[in-house]
Amino acid sequence: MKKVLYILLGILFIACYDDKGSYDYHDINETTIEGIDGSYNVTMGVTTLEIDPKVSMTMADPEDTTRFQYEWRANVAYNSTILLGTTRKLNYPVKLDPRNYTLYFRVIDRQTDLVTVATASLNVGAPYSRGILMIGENREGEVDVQMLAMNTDTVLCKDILANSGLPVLRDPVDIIHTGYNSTDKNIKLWVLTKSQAYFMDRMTFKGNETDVFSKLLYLSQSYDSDFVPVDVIPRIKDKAGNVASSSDRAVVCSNGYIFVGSSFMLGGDYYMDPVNCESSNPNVWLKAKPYLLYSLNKYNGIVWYDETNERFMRVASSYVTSSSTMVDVEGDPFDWDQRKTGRTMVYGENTFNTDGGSTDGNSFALLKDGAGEFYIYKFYVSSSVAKRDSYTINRSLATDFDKADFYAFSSRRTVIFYTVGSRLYAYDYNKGNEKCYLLEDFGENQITMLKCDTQIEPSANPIYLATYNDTDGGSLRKYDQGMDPNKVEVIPVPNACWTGLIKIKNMSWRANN
Amino acid sequence: MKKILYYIMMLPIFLSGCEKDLMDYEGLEGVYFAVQWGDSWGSELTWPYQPYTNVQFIQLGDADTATVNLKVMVTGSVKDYDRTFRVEVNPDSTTAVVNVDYLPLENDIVIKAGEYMAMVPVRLIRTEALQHEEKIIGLKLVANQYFTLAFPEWDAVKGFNSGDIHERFDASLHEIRFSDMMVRPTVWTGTDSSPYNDGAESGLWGAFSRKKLEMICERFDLTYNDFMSTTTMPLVLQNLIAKTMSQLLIDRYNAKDPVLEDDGRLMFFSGCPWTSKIGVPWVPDEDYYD
Repeated sequence: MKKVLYILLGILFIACYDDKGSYDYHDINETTIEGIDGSYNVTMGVTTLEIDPKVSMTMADPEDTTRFQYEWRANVAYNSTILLGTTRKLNYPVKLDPRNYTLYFRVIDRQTDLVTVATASLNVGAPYSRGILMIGENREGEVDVQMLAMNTDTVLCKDILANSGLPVLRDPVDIIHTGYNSTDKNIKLWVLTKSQAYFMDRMTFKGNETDVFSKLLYLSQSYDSDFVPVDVIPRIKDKAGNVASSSDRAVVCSNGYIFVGSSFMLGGDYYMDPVNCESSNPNVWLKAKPYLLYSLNKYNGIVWYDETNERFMRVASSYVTSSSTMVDVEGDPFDWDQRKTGRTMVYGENTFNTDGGSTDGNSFALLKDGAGEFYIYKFYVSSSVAKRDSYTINRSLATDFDKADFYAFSSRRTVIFYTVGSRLYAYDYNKGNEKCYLLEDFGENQITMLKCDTQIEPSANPIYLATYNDTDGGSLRKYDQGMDPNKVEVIPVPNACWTGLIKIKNMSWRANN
Repeated sequence: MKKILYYIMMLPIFLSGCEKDLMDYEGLEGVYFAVQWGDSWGSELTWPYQPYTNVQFIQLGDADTATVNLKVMVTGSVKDYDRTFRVEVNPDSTTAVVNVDYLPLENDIVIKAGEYMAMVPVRLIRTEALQHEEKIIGLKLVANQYFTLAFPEWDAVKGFNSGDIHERFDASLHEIRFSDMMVRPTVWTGTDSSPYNDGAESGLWGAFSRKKLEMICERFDLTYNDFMSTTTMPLVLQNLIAKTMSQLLIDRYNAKDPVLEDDGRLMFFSGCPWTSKIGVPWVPDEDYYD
């Protein structure tokens, strides 16, 4: 009887007893991971992340893939986890968006369910943050963007636009990074084509068909044509990515409309109604030539050319809502109003030329009259616009000047470079000493772009020249301007010729994200 | 053997010492107005409980009527059968007139089986009079066979503080205060009187007036609500409005058809070449209408 009681009591109290019994213990396989660094710095779309960790096991073969499972993951805490690989050796062409991740290497023992983990910091940088952006056509004639990324070594990034998510585009025009701005959302990376212009994600270079200029417009009326920018200024003016003004911006569109905006006044990179009109006739739109002339070093509004009335016009600041005419005085080197001369503007360029005390850089306009004569007007778009000089191109000297495909004004000399087919010329317009030079003939290579650099090395003002042939594709060459006052020459810069490129239409500098 | 049976019978008593004793709700079953509102960034998780609700018809577009649903909650356990609570218009606090300013109230509202709350719908009518005065409908909950009045003295609940907090009120009462008066909206970029401009209107849009706002709405196809945040009224649109409206006023002035405010002064936006002072009528030049 008592035994029964004791059993019952045992049952009653056993539930309250903590189990501190002893068991049999068996050794299990232990895994150690070595050979993974503390951090990895890689570049999206450029780097292949290769890691060969040493995995040691006390009781098993690490290569036994039936038992052991490997996992490489890039994690963002509380956000995402991305599987990079499932083998012990990682070989991963980096496609992660630029940001910081934690890299996890996990060894999973299917037999014991034990997981051994090693971690590292993984810092993914944008390949497109610094370097020369080039826009042009691939062999199929489609618009593409390449970049000579210059973060550390110079690396050519290809097919950037092809992987952007935008539809296939034709007729490239320009590619523009708007440069430094204290407000991140005001910084834009524009891809300009004849049919549309898109601002891209600056980190990933992804595009969206809705990210177009009209998205930035607040208009008081409707217009019967689309606004497609062909130039956005001010442009980057130095290697650091600075611009003449961080709050002012002006845009000229392919239909001849001009917009100006102050992010300070408008609360961001926005624009109101166009300004290519006069205050006396605010609804009569004057068609602008696709050139915005301003001082590269300091923004004091713009000068533009009114194609409708053959005259230069002025937009003095980003706060005005219309354009104004400028006064001509007897004895000036040239007139703003060109109706009497029969000339029209064919090209314009902003430079760092300081002739006449233009410390922030003169602008140049190339005009042509009905007789085929060409004229250079030099002026300074400062707080007041000052005419500096005018020059007549001596056609008997300037070989095929009227047939030129591209023009480029030197900031340092009285020289305009121009190209005809495969030939590069320089014309010195110094009055009384005019000369023309055939600098180089690229033979089978067609010249597709000519620039005097005002962005990367504005003081040296080197020449960038792009060529193309069907066999070898595109190339980009850099030349220094010779400074011998008795002759004009260009000197190829060693190791500054890049081949295997697209058919370059335009290029620009990007200094940072 | 009997002893064995005794111990076996006592076993549940031994074991019952491990069970935690959870107490059921034993308070009265009552109803109370559980109306919450507050800052735009808050929610019912943070808004304080309120003794009244404001309704601005101007924010409702062109609607001629508006239905306000007031939340009433119950205390006590949820039941598996329908229950009814009673709500009536409180004549002590009501200035609105039934069938003029609001439609007759539904007095008996059902709390459905398994539910712990219901809405009291109050249907308001937009009248001309509301443009000039505010009307009030006071509501009161009335005890019945199902519910007492749960919180005749409601104390503000800690943690519900994203908005105006009323520390103590009677939660069996609630007021709806409604009007159609156009008050200066949240985004109005102008001042009535500038000390730097001899007391004249200044800023992008000058002084606020219903007439001015309605002109803007008509010109830009906007509604009053678009003026309630900088998301719908960004700085660039504020500037565009000033630029466009000032040009419109100038054109009207030049066409000998000037736009005047109700006090006879010239309407003003930044960009107009004239100044306007509230209360000072415009006096046209002698030859203006020649």
